[in-house]
Amino acid sequence: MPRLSRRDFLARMVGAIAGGMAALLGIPGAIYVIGPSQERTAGGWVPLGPVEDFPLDVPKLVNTTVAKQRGWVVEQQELSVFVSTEDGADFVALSDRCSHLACRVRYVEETEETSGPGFFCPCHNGVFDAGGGIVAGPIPRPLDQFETKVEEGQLFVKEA
Amino acid sequence: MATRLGDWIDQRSGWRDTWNRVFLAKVPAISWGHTLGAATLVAVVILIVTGVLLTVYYVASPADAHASVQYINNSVPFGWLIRGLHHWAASALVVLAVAHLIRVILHGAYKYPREFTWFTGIALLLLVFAFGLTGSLLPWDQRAYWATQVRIEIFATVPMIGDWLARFIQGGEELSGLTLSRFYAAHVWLFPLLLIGLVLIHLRLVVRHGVSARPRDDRRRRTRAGHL
Repeated sequence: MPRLSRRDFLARMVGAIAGGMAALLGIPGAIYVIGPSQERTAGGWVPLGPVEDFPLDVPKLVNTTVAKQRGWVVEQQELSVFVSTEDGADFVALSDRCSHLACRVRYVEETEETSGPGFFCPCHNGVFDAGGGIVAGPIPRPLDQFETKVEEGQLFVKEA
Repeated sequence: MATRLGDWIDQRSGWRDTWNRVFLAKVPAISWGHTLGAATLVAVVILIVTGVLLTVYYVASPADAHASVQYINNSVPFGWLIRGLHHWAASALVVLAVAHLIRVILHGAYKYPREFTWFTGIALLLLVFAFGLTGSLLPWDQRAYWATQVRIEIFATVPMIGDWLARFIQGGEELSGLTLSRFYAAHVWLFPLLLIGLVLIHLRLVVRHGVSARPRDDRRRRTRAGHL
């Protein structure tokens, strides 16, 4: 390595100190901006109502709200769940958000593809069967399913 | 590699010429006092960077302002550091700017041909105070509210136009969310644009005129030549 002149040495020192100061501000700054954006909060159990309110033949769409702490604000977020049951004891709770691009799906008594009940997404003609499985359209995966439990006659779903 | 990239850009921009003129300029015998302008500029850069970062989480509304500042301080990683730097760099800026001004006065550096540099500097100092006035309301706590109340009362004592001026500054009959909103607009839009423009002019003039020689050096030279 060639010998550094005094001038070049000082110039490099100034550059190094300036770089150090930029890093001292830049690295915490980047962490600050990323901040809580990658945090995942565990969902809680959300009550959907007494079990006897759910009919045996067709899925019932339950609209409820969940309080969520977002930054310094507690927001009431909408949660819509299709609840179906065959015996009034075991429940299947499906999200009404299409797995493609999160449009809202609706229940249809008869889909063209299956001639049976299912869910239809109007955005890109996505079709799910009654259990949320893929039937047609650009759907990448079945409808999201919530974990359910019954406590003291109330149905709860575990929100993701 | 870096040199070749530098050459490529230099052939198309001439940046080395500018760089050399700014950073490798010959300067007369200078003192530590001559670094105060650069120190002031560093404070300004820190304030711009941390200020931009603060706007990521800060919300200028009566319902959110204080809560969002608390959120920055307590919940966002390094939020305490970013806000602390903005707070202390703001105080440092006032001290450094005034120290720089005193240095310029003591060395007579405001004289021909640097009068216009001096005027832009004075405008910058007034702008710094305007930043302080608007910025100190933004945390929206008791101190911010009541200190701003006092300052607006001071504006109201201006002869003839006092009442009009006070209402104009607070955006209505009393200090309210409208005041917060317009102080925020001034603090993050109007004043920074003015500041950056004035700083660029100020620096351009410093580069153009170079660093003024100290009066003492001048006298020694004149004495030697037998003029004193």
